[in-house]
Amino acid sequence: MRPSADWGGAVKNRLKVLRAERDWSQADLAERLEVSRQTVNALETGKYDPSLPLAFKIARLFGQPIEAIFQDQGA
Amino acid sequence: VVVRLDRVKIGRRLLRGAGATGLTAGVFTAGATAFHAWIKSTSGAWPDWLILVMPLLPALAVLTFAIRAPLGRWTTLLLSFGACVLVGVLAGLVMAVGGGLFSGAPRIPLLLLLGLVVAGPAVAVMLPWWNRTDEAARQAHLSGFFWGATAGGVAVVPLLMAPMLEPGSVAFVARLSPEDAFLYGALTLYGAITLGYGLFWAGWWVSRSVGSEA
Repeated sequence: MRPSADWGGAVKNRLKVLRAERDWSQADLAERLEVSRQTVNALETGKYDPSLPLAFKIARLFGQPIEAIFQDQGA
Repeated sequence: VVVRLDRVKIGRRLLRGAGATGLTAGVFTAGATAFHAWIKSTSGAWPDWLILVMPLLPALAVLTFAIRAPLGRWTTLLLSFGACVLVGVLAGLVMAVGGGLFSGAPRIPLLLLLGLVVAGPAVAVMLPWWNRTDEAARQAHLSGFFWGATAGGVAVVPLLMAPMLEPGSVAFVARLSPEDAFLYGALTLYGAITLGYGLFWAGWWVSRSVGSEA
């Protein structure tokens, strides 16, 4: 079954690494992104794919292009 | 160790949710049972306000634990519960007074009107809550309703159809009047949908939480 928003993510990401480089906790990152800590947790496990607006927000926060943070597993 | 800590947090969250739902359901069931017994001994009919309030309670229990309430979740839960009962009692009073003031007035439109009175504030509370809920939390609710609630509803269909296909097969239903059987059937379906939704919602979060550090 192809991963979906209901059953799991289809995109890998480097959120955990980028967060660790800045010595932020999940709560810190959640506050900066204006989402819950549980959402950051779900993003980091790679089992939830963010919407485009949230992906752009994450890219802006880390000062990197989206494709440097998120990689399509099917590509 | 990190994963275990995360699981402990998830466990606590689930316990709090189960506790709130259990508390609400317990208090309501005790009150409703006592009130029902009293009503049965007097007029023998279910009070209309109880029917109005009943479906709101599990929804309130789930909702108040999902929101980031400024007053705190337990306070919000108790206030919601109190408001819910107050609306129900007011509805009951209107029904009682209505018997004199609106004698001959159709009861079903009056019930619908009271439903709207309850639904208005509920929507006023839910819209801002939905707007400030982040996208993953929304997805959990939407998936819960689509998959969990649907599965819950489908799962209980055989039970609901059994008395029709094989009369007398469910002893409890055989003792009920058609009106009560209809009401219990509706409540059973509603309960199954709510349970399915809740289980899928919790599973959605748990499956996406394990394996990452806090």
